[in-house]
Order: sequence, then C-alpha cells, then structure tokens
Amino acid sequence: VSEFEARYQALRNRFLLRCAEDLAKLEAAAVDLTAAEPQALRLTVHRLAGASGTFGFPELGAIAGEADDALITGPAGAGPQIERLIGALRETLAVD
Amino acid sequence: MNRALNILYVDDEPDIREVAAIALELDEGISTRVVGSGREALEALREPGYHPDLVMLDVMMPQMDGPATLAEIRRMPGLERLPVIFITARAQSHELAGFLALGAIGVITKPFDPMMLPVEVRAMVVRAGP
Repeated sequence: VSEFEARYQALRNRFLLRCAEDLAKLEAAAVDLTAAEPQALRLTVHRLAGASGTFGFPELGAIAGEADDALITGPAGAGPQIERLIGALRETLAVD
Repeated sequence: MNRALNILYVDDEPDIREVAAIALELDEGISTRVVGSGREALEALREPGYHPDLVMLDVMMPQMDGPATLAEIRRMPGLERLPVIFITARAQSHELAGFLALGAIGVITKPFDPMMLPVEVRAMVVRAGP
C-alpha cells in the first residue's frame, strides 16, 4: 500500500497541475460563454466532475457535476455554474 | 491470491486511468493495461495473443465514446461475450439501466474510491458468472 500511496500522491499532484490549466481555460471561456467551444468546455468540466473526488476533492467534483449538467443544453445558460466552478478551483488551488 | 484477471482499462483521462491501474493492481491477481481511447482499445483487442478477461470503458470519451466502443467490440469475432464494465461520471438511474442494457456486466461511477475499485470489479465479475 505504501508504494500505492506514493504513486497516488504523484498522480494527485499532477491532477492539481491540470486543475490550474483547467482554471485558465474556464476563465477564458467565461469571458464570453456564447463563443466557447461546447465540446471542449464540456470535456474539461466533465473530467473535473469525474476525477476530483477520486483525488480527495469531493466538493469540487460536486460543483463540477452541476456545471456538467448545466452544459448539457449548451454553454450559454451555464454561466452561474461555471463561475461557481471557477471559484471552487481557485479555492482548491489556493489551499492545497 | 485471487484468480488472475487481465483487464483492459480505457479512459481518455490520464490521471484517472493511471490511478485506476495502480488501484486495480492492489489486488495481486489483477494485471491491467491502460489505453486512452476507444480506437486504441480496438487496436489492442486486435493484437494476436492479447486476450483480456475484462474491458473497463469510460462512457464519455471524444471521437468514440464507451457505448460506441462496446458496439465495435461486439462486432469483433470471438468478443461477442467479452465482459465489459462501464465507468461514468453520470450516474442517474435510468442511465445506469441503459448502460446495462447495452450488455455491460456492471457500471462503476466516478469518483471511485481507489481502495475499493478492485473489490467492486471482482464482485461484478463474480456476479456475472463464468
């Protein structure tokens, strides 16, 4: 299990680096969601919804899940959920 | 040691597929190969001599999603009954039933607990029978 823990921590650190990249993508998309590429935005958010809990961030995952649901009908109506996800990502990266 | 179980794990998300692989291999009987897309999974399954006991398929992947990959697997000679487990971040009950109706032996929802993943997979394989 100790070898597992070491490898898990390395993957968790890499996940956090990717969260920083995702934050930048979401901030850029949030400037004008009507111009955002729907599929790319959905994949970014869906990834966060699926992975965050596994790496110890269940609340971030839940907020990403809400944004993922909101994006089903397209980015234009998902502004509040994307803003909330941006806030949760900023908080996660500031704390961890 | 548990019965040997050779798994092909398919997920476009590198962090998740790698954590899944190390988690699955906490069970010493499990060996895991990971690939990043449905297309790569089909290529792996066409390799002579490669015969996994189980395929674990992420549902939402770009280009070819999990259900489409399963449909292609079922068209491959000899793989009509290869056990498949879907992995999904979307887990509403009607969707779960739909995934099972496609021929999967089980559905694992993300986020998964890495320590429990091999246990869940073993249980699904046992329930599915020989």
